[in-house]
Amino acid sequence: MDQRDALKAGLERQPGTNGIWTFVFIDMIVFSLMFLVFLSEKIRLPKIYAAGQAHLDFRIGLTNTLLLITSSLFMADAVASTRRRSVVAVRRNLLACLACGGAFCVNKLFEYHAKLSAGLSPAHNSFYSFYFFITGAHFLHVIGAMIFFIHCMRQNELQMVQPGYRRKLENVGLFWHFVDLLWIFIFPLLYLTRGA
Amino acid sequence: MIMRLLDHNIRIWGVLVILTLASVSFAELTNWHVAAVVAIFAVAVVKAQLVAVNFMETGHALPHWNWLYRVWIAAIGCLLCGGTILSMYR
Repeated sequence: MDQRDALKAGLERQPGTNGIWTFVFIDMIVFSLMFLVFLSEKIRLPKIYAAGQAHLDFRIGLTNTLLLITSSLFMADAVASTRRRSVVAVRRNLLACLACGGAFCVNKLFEYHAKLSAGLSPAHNSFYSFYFFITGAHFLHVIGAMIFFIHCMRQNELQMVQPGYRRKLENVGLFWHFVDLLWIFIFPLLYLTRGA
Repeated sequence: MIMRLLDHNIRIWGVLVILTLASVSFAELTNWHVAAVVAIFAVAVVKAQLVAVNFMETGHALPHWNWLYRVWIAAIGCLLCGGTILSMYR
């Protein structure tokens, strides 16, 4: 087997397309830069950041973490179900992912509303600018993934057993796990290191 | 085989939940010091590695993606931990 055949075999075995792995990696770099700037500001203005973080309720962050972890389990099962061509299980797992994503959004909007009602807008100080920017960017990723969930659920049974559908769902799954991965770092950064 | 896979995923989910609760208890029950911050971010790195390997299946991706994703997780964990510790001494 020459190098080209080995690459082709690797691409066929790989979950999702090469494009989604590239896209997610670029997104990782973008979020890394956001975290870097957040930390440089936190080092420059530690008191403002400590005061801002003290206003965040870790229970909301914890609930959202558990929701995303659970949705990742459903997504992994949806991908496993599409490989065994079980249309009912794919739909059921995607619906569960959608429910978890929806609950995450409601929780997040509730948190935003509470902050804005208390006059803590992005213009309040540097911490809140970053809080809304980082969590807002993540929130948009959740919304984007949920649109793809709905798209995948609306396919008919014949389309759902095609190899192209499996690839599509693997791509959506990879993106959703990345959303979970980001929150795994955002949660301790904003909600847990409040005393730091 | 599929049932084994589901069982495996559920086990990973259970470990992720336990680690999440452990990191919350580090944050809420310990006095603030460097060790607590290191523990919280170490747990985050372990959780992220578990998601990458078991749910994203990085082990089945092309080797460079597997390497890049796993290095990113370790690097971002170190960055966040280091930055948070630096902010404690300002």
